[in-house]
Amino acid sequence: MTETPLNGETMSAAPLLEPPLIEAKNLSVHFKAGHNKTLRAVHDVSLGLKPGKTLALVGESGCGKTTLVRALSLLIPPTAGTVTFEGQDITRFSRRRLRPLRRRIQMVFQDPYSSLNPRMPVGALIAEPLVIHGIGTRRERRDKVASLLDAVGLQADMMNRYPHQFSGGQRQRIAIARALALEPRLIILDEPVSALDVSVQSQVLNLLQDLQEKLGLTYLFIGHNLTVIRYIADEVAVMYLGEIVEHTETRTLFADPRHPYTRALLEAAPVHGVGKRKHGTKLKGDPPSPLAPPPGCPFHPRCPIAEAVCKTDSPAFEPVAGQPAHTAACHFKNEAAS
Amino acid sequence: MTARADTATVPATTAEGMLGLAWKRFRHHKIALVSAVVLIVLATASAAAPLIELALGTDANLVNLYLRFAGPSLAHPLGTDELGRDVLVRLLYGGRVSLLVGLTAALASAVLGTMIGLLAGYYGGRLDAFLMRTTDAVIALPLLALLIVLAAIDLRKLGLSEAMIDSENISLYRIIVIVALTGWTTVARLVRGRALTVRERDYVLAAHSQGAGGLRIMLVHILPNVVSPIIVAATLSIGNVILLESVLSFFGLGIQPPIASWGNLLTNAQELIWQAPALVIYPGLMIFMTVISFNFLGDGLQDALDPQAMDRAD
Amino acid sequence: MIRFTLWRFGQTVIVIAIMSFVIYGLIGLMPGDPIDMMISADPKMTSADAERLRALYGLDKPIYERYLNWAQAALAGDLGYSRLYAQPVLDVMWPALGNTLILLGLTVFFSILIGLPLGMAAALRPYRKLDYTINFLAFAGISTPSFWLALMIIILFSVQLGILPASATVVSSDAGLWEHARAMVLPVLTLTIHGIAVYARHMRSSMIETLRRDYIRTARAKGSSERRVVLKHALRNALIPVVTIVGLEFGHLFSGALVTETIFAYPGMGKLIFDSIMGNDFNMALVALLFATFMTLLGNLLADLGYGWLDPRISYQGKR
Repeated sequence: MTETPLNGETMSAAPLLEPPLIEAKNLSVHFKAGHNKTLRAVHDVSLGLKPGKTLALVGESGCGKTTLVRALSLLIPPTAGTVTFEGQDITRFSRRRLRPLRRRIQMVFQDPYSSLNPRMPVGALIAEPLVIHGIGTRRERRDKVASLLDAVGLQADMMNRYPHQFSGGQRQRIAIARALALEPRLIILDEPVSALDVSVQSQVLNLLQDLQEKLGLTYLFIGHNLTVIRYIADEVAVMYLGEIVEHTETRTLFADPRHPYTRALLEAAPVHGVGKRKHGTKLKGDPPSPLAPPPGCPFHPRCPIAEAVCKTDSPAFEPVAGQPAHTAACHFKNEAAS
Repeated sequence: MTARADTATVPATTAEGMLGLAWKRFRHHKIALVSAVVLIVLATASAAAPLIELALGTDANLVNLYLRFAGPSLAHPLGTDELGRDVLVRLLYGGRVSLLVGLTAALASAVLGTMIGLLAGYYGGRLDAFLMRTTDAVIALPLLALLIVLAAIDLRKLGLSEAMIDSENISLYRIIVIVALTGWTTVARLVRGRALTVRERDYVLAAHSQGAGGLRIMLVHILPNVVSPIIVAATLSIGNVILLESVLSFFGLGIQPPIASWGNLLTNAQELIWQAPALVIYPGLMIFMTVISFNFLGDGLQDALDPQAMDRAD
Repeated sequence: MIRFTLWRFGQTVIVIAIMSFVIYGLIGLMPGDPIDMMISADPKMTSADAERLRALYGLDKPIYERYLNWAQAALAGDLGYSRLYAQPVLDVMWPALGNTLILLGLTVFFSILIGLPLGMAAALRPYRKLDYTINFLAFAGISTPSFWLALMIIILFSVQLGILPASATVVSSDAGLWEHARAMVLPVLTLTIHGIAVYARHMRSSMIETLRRDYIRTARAKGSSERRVVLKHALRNALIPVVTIVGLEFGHLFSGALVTETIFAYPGMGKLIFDSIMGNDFNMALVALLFATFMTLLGNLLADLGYGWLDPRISYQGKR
């Protein structure tokens, strides 16, 4: 990221030196939308995930989080840029070559009511990744399913039941068990608790943390509930209109946000107490359409501190002065908030 | 792990429970229930045709010119036909063939329609556009006229072996193939519509992200979620198939004698209406009863299995 | 809308082109060929003669080449001779087409006249006695084999009552309009019974759906009389899908016409197709089938366009 010596204030040197598990470089995903129009779902994103850590991706709905994640896992082809996994450039891999890699990257979706096929018993659901990759005999798979159910805090004898016989929290545990089946290194968690009851959320989060410690998993956590993110994430990347606008350690982000959008997000959310978010107190209007992103800084039409330069020049995504591990894309990032 | 607090399970409905729910709804559809009973009786009686033949002590193919157009009697409950054969037994033998053809051809066209619908709905894009325009075109054709041509073509010119063509059952196979080739459209449209919705579900994406191929996703994830409309459409189509079979057989283009079917029992009917109207009434009544029963059954199944789907004619 | 019309029209033309090839191919698969018939008519012909004749008629060429030759001639207006009727095929077809259009026109007219009010009556009080009765009768109507219905009608009106002719062919050349009308009663009746069932079912479901809409509730809440709600607000909207059914059901209608015309010996397109296929009249069967296909596709086209015309809310821009 940078050559400047660390001032040791915010983080140790080790995570920076360790190569990222998965890394996007200048990744863009553009969709054709009608005549001569392009939808910039993801634009020029560079992002790395450190092994064994949790990176949270935050942003309003429609900002391109989901597209970024699907491009990272190569479920949709990127328009430009590269994706590196375990040091290997996998951007141009064929379906066939991607297949073994799919084992290493698993996903847990937001809504456990729609991510589990209602017509399959739980045992078959959890064993499906094993079946797809031709792992184990029927008996071995059965044993594996039993141990996975146990690992996520469910009883092994539940494997013959169907998803609709479980509560939301239990279903999410099942989805996690399925994601664990192939012993992946990276799990992408797409708002895994936002569809759950508040009382159940912390149980699932605790489970995720336990599993990360035990199995050395890396998480990419997508969410918009800042309380949850503060609890689970090591680092946070803030996304706006298809671009990353700020990226740093969780602690730093909450204590010293440098992008006005991040500040607005933090102010809009009550830091303690979950669920009562007064969204949009500071943000004017809706995000602009990704079909016609504004010139200059994409945030300027809604920015409280925008000046003339913001309307013409796009700010670089660079480290904040004196904080090499804290990057932000704002012309005024070096002026700490009062 | 302390995380067992959310183990408070939802009422334990099982897979059988879902069927139970459907059965509950179905039970309220009285006519469908009656129809199911009628069909079971008809099917059983047809299946037991040889036994009934034995019990009555007659032979379905026994020509007895001294006993033409006999009225109902103990030996011949529905009387005899123009060749003195027992009408009831011949009706039951005809039922075997008509029901068999109806079920098989409806099944074949459902399978074909499901495959086409899955491909169109899952892959989308140009393949979808092509398949759906083809479906539109097939629906728009004057079906019966084309079926008559199909039924009239010379199988030798298609390169089929003589042995197959001379086989006694060739007219059976031929009609099943013909009906399947033209009858897949309804199922294809329904399956395609459902597949379009289902493929957007997260569990399909989940399977995809695990590396599942298109075939697996279509068969394991999409198909089980589109069975209800397939069952309904297939049930409704059995009636149509039986109607088509009967009209083709009536014209002498469907099931060929000596195999009896409800349609070909009527082939000579037009000449008989002056002397023995009853011979014309019975086979038609059987067709009518069977077809209306399948239609009501399909209607009831639709209410029971697929309450949200309205039969939209667009 | 204009773009859609053109697009839809182009699609119809393509389907007709494809169908002409398919039908040409299918007719070629029917038993025997014209030369076989000449051979059977003239036992003195040798197989060498037959080969020469086949070459002369181009029957030894591959199918697509023969098709292209045929299509070229057809587009130039030369559709060939009917073997069965010994006349140019078009001279045979035009009167038959006219007869069929009269038959179908009357059928649609009476079916709508009776079927729509029945469907409406059922929809106004759904899941009551009247609705159940109408619904049951409609199911019965679509479940009756059309040929059997025709036979039953003959038994009743011609055999038992003896009041109407069983054949729709008017034999004497000096027959008046009255005789022609009498001859048509039974075929029209047969087709109409089926038509009533079809239209009543569609009208019922369309009306039930319309009456559930918000603007109907609004109209009722405003205190409009039930009569006004139904006739002014609901009817027009409920009719839109039903009108398209008339176009879309043309294929079924034509199938019914084929059966009915054949049984009643009514000289229309259906009987013409049936007779020409049965009589190995290749030219005639080909042209008549193609024309029937063209008519049903035209019905569909009109239904689609009519739908857009009746319901201005439908935008065809976004549809494809």
